[in-house]
Amino acid sequence: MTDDAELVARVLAGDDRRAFAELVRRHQSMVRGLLRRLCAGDAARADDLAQESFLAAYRKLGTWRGGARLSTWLCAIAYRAWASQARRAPQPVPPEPAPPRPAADRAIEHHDLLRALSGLREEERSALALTCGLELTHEEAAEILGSPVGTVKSLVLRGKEKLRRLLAAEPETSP
Amino acid sequence: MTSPDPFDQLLAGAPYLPDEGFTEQVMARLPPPRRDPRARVLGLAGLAAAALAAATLPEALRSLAAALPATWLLSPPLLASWLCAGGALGYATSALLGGRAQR
Repeated sequence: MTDDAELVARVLAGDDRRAFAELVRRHQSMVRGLLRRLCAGDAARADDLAQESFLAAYRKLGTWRGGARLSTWLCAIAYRAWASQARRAPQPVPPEPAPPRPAADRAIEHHDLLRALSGLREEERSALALTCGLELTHEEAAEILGSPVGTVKSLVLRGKEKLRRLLAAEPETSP
Repeated sequence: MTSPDPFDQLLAGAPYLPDEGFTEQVMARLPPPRRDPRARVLGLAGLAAAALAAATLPEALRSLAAALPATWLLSPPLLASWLCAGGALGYATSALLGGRAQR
């Protein structure tokens, strides 16, 4: 399989559209998945942002340095697209919580997770989506988020705890 | 050995999203393909070389005629050398401009 660097080189050298399409196909699931988590399950908004992210990536492809993984670079573009839109647009009202059920007798499903993510602060959601969802290191996530590594670690811990409570339908005790 | 926390597994396990036309939508929104500038520059350089040759060849022929036998002047190697020089000039210009355009 052709590696990402070779495909990027083909796009830059001759505007090879097939090579760029291959890059989109290869990374679309990861970018859309990240954005769905950031958008707390709003799939339509996430896919719009994913399209914008790939278009931005196409325009800026020459700035990608082979040192970083292309997937990490794409995630950074997607995160910035989401953050920029979140700054401009007001936060959507979180969906109504599902009727509480004891956590022990049910399997937590992915859509439960997406719903619960809307109950987190944006910073917590971003840190969780990047580190747990994409398995980036804390250092990589910190670079994308523009925050110190220690801050990212505490955001992840706090976000996880809050998510556990939300998924277990326990009442919030702290902000 | 402890089993992995199902919550952590859920957080880590983002399901694969099938493409379902996403790539085509992105490709349809890309700007139109850029043309290779070398083809245009090569054509222009060829025309310029031909014009230059047409303008200077009679003078060159006259000056060379005094020194060289007429049969040699009209020989294919001399004419071919003009064409080669024009082509080389065109190719060098296009490569230079093409390289800059890509950077």
